[in-house]
Amino acid sequence: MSLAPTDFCRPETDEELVGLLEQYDGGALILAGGTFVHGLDARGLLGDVTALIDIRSLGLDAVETGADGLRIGATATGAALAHDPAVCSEAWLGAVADALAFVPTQIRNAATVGGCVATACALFDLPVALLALDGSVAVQGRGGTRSLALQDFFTGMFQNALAHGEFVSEVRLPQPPARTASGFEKLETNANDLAIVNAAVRITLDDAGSCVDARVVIGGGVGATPVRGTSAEQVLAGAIPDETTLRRAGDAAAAEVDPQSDHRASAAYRSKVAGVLVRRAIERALARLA
Amino acid sequence: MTHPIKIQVNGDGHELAVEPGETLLAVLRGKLGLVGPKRGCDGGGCGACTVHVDGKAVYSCMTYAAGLDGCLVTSVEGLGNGTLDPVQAAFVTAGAVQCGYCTSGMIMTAKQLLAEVSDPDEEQIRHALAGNLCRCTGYQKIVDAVKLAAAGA
Amino acid sequence: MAIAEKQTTVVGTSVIRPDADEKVRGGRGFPVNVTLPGMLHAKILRSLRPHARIVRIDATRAKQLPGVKAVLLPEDVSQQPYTPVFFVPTLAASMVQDMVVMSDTVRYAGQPVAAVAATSAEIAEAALELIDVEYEDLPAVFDPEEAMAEGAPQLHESSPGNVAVHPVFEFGDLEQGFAGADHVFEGVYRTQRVHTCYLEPRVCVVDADPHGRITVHSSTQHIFGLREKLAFALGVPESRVRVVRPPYIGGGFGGKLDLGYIEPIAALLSMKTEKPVRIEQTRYEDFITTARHPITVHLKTGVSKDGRFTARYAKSVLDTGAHATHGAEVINVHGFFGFLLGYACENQTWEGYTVYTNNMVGGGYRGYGAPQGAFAVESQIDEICEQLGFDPIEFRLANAHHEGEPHPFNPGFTLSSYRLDDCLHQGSERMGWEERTPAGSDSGTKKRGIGLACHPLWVSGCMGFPDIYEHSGAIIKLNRDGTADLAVATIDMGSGQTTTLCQIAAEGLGLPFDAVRIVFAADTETVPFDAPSHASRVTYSAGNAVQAAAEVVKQRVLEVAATMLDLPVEELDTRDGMVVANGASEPALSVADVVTRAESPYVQVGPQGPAPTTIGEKGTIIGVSSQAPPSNPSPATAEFVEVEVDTETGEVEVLRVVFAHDIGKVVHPNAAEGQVEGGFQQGMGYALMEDLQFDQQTGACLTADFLDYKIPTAVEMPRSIESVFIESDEPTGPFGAKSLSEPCVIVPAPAIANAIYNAVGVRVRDLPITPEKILAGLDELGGATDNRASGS
Repeated sequence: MSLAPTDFCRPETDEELVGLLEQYDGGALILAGGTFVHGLDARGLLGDVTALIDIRSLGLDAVETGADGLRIGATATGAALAHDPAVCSEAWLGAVADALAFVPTQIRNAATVGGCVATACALFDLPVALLALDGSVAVQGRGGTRSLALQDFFTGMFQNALAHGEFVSEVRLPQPPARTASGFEKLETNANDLAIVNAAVRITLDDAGSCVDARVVIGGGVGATPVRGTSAEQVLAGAIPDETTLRRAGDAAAAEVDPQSDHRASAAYRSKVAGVLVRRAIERALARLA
Repeated sequence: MTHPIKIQVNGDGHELAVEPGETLLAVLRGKLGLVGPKRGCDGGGCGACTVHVDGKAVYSCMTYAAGLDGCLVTSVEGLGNGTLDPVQAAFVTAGAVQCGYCTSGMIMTAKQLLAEVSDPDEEQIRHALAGNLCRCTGYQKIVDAVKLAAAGA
Repeated sequence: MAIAEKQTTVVGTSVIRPDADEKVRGGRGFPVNVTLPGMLHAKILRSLRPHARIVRIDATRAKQLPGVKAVLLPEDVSQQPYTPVFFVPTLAASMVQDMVVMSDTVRYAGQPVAAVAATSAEIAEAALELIDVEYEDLPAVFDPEEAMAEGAPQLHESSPGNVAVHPVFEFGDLEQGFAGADHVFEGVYRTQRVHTCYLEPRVCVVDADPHGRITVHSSTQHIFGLREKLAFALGVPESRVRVVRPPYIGGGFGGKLDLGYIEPIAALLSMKTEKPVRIEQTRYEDFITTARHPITVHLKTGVSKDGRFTARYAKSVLDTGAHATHGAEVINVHGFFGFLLGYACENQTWEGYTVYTNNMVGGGYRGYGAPQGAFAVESQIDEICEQLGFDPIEFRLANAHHEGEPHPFNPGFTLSSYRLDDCLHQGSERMGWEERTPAGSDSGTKKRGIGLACHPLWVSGCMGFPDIYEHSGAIIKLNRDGTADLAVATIDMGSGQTTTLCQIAAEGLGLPFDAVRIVFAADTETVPFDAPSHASRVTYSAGNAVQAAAEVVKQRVLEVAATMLDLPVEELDTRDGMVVANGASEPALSVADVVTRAESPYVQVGPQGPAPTTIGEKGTIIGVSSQAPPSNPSPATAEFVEVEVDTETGEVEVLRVVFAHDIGKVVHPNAAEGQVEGGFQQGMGYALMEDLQFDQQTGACLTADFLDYKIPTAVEMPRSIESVFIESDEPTGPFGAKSLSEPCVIVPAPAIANAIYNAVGVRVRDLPITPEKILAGLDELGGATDNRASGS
């Protein structure tokens, strides 16, 4: 364990936070729930941290539904998001509800959406669901706020596109068209585990029941960042999502991913299961439209 | 450089100076002499350290004490007020306590579940306890204890 | 020790465990809570290299760090080797003495090379970074077959070819047996390294006072073994070391059955600093401290067409890691109780190899070699029955031993209670075994199957085993309020040892359960020897000793009561805290009255003035026992498991378990169920997910936390675990009881493997049976599920 911070700060305004980030010049770690600090430290990624900055006094914990979709404050906890009425009831947010159901109680109570996203761990669950919902992050810094699509925000394993002095203030999920649903599936060894493979799917149907839009995202050990299943999306586009189409979409996803082998699972297994999970995630989403 | 915090632990107010990297578990055991929250691993994997912060079950081994100014912390020692809390009593009655090392954490997680869901079914109980490991009981009688506590409430 | 002559009132009931109240309030009695004034904290520097010689080690900078009080290096430590295993004499001939506290040769990644005591654990940890070590790397070997091969790096000079022990046992004529077989089955079965995962870490506080007395608090399964081994390692007489019996420990499962590095290191640092020293291991350190040994079993079995074994051969290769320790004994328990003796066959040969590698050292773990054997034997029996069309229950029974026969290992003992047949029949009925469908016959992508495994021969303790301690003792003292204090060395690691012994004491004394308390202030100076809490022995062996002490005390109560009542002793008995006379409808006295009288002054002043009582009745009513148990009765077990296999992902869900178990009289039904349920969690983890993995180049542990080392949570457990207890009556056991607990972990893996075969027709012969292996097996079978669309 190399983490040995000398300072702990709790800014009360965004300006204060930005000032602290500049002051510590790369030596500060922003945390809210702090539930993966140990995980990062155990991987030797926190050796240079001298200050912990707790951002839970900035009032960034709101979850708001509006005409343009869902806005999730960076320090909203997983539990708060899971209990949000829209997340509990809207078919299009199904993948978020599914993903959060996999998180153990103690983590869900403390871990925040901003922290989960900023950690940029390709084995996490919620980011895969957020990607499937075309999520974006609001990033704040000295120069103001900018918006980044989540897939541009994740640049590698534990790597994100934050510049020095920037922090995630919000995650946004745009309101999709009517008749949109999403679903998320995960393969794990026990119920307190990072994904061996996971998958999230968002699907929009027209009145005739054909798919007019689909987004397929696969995570777990399939890459340095979650992977977009474009081949699977192409199978779904314009098709009636019947059993044959779903199977073809799954097979396409399985062929598309190039996973890693590690002590948890082999690449071949991950590929095979990715296909199964994509198919099942589509089924979960479709069930929400039935 | 230490950081001052004011916290309530099991109903008692404390003013403490904590190190930036000091965990709530270290404060509860080392500074306040509590024995309920325990170290069973080194990073939020076993649940033996589970306590409530503002009524929510968290891993105290991963919670930074410096961020808890103004918070209410409850461990098993803060339950019951002299007699046993119904969940504690149910654990005893159901035979859910073997070595006892996971017990405090299990009780705190169960307390939050029952505060939110007054009559949880088996699946809800098991999923709520997914973040608490036990090596002795196979969880069966722990689940029975939570059901017993729910029925008695 | 006699057969119960009357109905028991305390034994056989699920009393409230006396330690539960304290534990739900937080649990003050765990060794992890022990602090002593002036206590220092120590940390251990561990080599990351798997095989190396220490060329130079320099702790100058570490010693200068403020707060550091002492440093320990290999040069400070005796190099007299020993075996650290608690339940054998230190220099036992059947074991291998190859362990030292700190060596200048590193033989596994994680081996201690230095230690620091400081005023805080953080300072001690920081000081470790300031110790400079220069190593000369040596070639390392991680596979036991490679380690036995010509040219492999040699780990210990005393064991050429890296074979620590090589037991061979031959019975009958194997060749002839195979010649007479109608069918021969061969297979290789592999099991993996797994960790006990006791939740309370290994922790100790050792206080060496200036007068040479050493007091030890430790999370241990054996206070006397710790005393013996620690004294030896330090080169001091045993009588100088006092090990305190903790009120309870946070799990052991066999993982705390040996002298670790922490106790001798803490002792030596305490001697240097003249302060108590505390060491608590991190979870990573615990993961690399102890494990169930991986064993590869080669089986060759001859079967006649009428379903009898004609010949059985096995070769078992056990990877013991850098030191032999438990590996020298596990191999024998594995060979005898995991293979040779379970079933009757005239022609058998078994050879075992305990092999050194540069892997972590193995330890004890519930089952102690039998799970590895049962996985092989019970899987193969399933394969035999499937291929030849035998009924799996009748095949096992046709080859099993029978009640009343001489014990297969100790012919001087008898299988005085042995109900394997009832276990199999009652278990099968409860499970619905007759409704089982052929392998892979379910349609749909999720397929169900039922499997069976039994463990036909086990132990209640170690009576009769070479070089293994097996005696117990107890002290029972009565108080004037009618309560009894029970003092034993027996460790309660969660299975309910304290509760069981109090029940037996209460039953034997004729007191209500609540009147008996375990004495917390027991240690190696005040109580008789007890062997460890291991080997499924406490109920039977320690229970017998407690019953004997209770009989002594009860006899004394009745003698004093006889003088008080002027009745013959033979006409009196105790019941529920009262003394009752034959034929009387009301009790004559309370036990409290009797004790009060015994402890009161000889001359008592009454209304008529002073009057003498009887000299012979005066004195504390106290009884001691210390004895070996009279036998080693075998429990019998059969487990039936129903699983559902997802043929698309290979995931296995365990739906239902029926566990039928002959343990003689059940002392505490709720606790016995708890052993079955908890044992299943461990057995299921062993079968499906647990795997302590190491990098094959560097020896580094890849699964050193619960994120990477997976054990079942409440979610993965089956929703139904049914315990069926066949209550035979063991004539040599306390109130008819034998012991339980280890079979609960021995049978799940083969039962699950057999259930998986029944579900999908895939046979996996190496543990853990991961989803990946099942998918691979399905692929090999052609893997077609009824639902799979063609041409997709």
